[in-house]
Amino acid sequence: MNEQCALHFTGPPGSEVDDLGFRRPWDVKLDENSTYFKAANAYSEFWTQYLPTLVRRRKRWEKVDPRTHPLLMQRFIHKGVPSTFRKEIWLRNCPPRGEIPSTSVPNLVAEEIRLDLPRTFPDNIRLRNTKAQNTVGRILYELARFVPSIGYCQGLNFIAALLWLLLENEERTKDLLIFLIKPRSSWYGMDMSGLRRDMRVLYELLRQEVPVICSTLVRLDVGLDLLLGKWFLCWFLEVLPMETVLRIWDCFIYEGDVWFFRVAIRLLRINSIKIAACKTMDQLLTTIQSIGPSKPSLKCHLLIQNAMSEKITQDQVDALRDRFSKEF
Amino acid sequence: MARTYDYLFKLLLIGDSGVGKTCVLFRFSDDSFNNSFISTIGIDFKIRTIDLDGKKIKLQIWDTAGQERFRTITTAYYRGAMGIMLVYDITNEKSFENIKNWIRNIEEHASQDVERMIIGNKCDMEDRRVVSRDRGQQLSIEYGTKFMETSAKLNHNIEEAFYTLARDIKGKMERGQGQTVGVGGTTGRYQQDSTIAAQGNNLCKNRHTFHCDFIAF
Repeated sequence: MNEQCALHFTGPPGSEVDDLGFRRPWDVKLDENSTYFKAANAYSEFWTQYLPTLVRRRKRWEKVDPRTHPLLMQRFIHKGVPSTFRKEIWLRNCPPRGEIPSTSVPNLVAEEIRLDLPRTFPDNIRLRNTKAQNTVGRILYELARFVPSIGYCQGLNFIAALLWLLLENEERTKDLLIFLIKPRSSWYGMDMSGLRRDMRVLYELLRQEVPVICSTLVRLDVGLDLLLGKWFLCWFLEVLPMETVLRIWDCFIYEGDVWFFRVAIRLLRINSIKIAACKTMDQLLTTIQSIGPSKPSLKCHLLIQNAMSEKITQDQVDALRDRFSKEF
Repeated sequence: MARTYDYLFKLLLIGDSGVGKTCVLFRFSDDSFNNSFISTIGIDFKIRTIDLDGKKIKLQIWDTAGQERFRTITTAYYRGAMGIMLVYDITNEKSFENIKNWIRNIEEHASQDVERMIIGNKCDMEDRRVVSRDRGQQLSIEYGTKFMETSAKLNHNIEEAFYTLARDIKGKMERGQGQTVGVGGTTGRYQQDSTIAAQGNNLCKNRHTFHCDFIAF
């Protein structure tokens, strides 16, 4: 819980609450015995380095306006969309969701959604009241109407809530959520077949890129679906620090889910020595869980740059999906 | 590195979404309770070492997502479990009725001699109770398991539940039964050169199970 909260806050270290409504989980003055001491220090250090980047990027966007030049745009997106432009950039290619289908949503689905609403970012002050929680509920309900094969899958609550916190517009959040989830509906469906197929794709890519990961998985008899399923299901929410998540989503929304593979491979590559040294399944799981709050995960600018250098393309991912789809 | 324990027991918490599995686990592992836990996606685990009759026992406790669809991912890991806690919420009738489905799920995927225990959680919420203690007791007799009502919030019976389960496993081990428990073969995932075939088989099996469960609801 505490570690999770430390993943959310993404404002200046001196502020109580960030732009998205997440509370700073530690006091301004921390003593060394606090469980947050290390996390808070790492965050402050990161922020001091990152702030000039944020300022510089925002100035560049205001001056150059990359929106009319596709190539420039791609480069600018990789370097991070300034928060003042994010809403517009994320919604840029998103069509309205169209006619409401006539299918009805089963009661069970509505119940499942309701159950998770108070359990979605409880450390966010904007989500504390029932009105806001009901908004997230309606967004998820709309998704269930448009994509009945999913209904509701846990994890979507986090995605829906973050989109809404950022876009601050219920209807457009519904549009964007449906637009982004529909192509990946088989990840979230009853048998999660798409997720397992994509874990198979990732395994194949790792076999070429970081084979020691695969030999460790085989040796310890653990599947990627168990270890990394959450990374993909939640698009790295509740796994990586929020600023890093936003930077990944910038790239993913603009260029496709190849970015999930790039980031996953990069994170595993950084930790491959530790992973290969694991002797038991619980050591492996602990090692994987420690990736989220680690420093390389916090340094989002560098992480995205390095993930870029993973030479995997969307075409390559889609071709592997075709190859493995029959088996899932 | 010297081993700091005599036995390692792998335990598993299963049950419907929202019954308090994560709360039960955190109360036991960290002695903390938080009203605002987030929903568990996939699987998580905690470790606590306890002393039991002069032996150090390391408990590795796996916490699973309650939503049915996640079973397609998690059931492969039931196999190594030596003890399973089936958790329901005494204020939620459906979570109680579903215990039967969870048991069927265990019978299909876990080792045959796994120790089982039924837990009725949230017993601090007496005013909202819909499942009587008696019914919980009856069900556990029917399935030949131990039964306890717990409250993670008030720290009621949490220690007792884990200690009881651990003691039963230890007893079984020392009597020389269930020696295969915890070894129990592989997930079948990487047995063949092309891992896919094995996974494909598992998948079909899971899908079948799932539909049966669903119809039975």
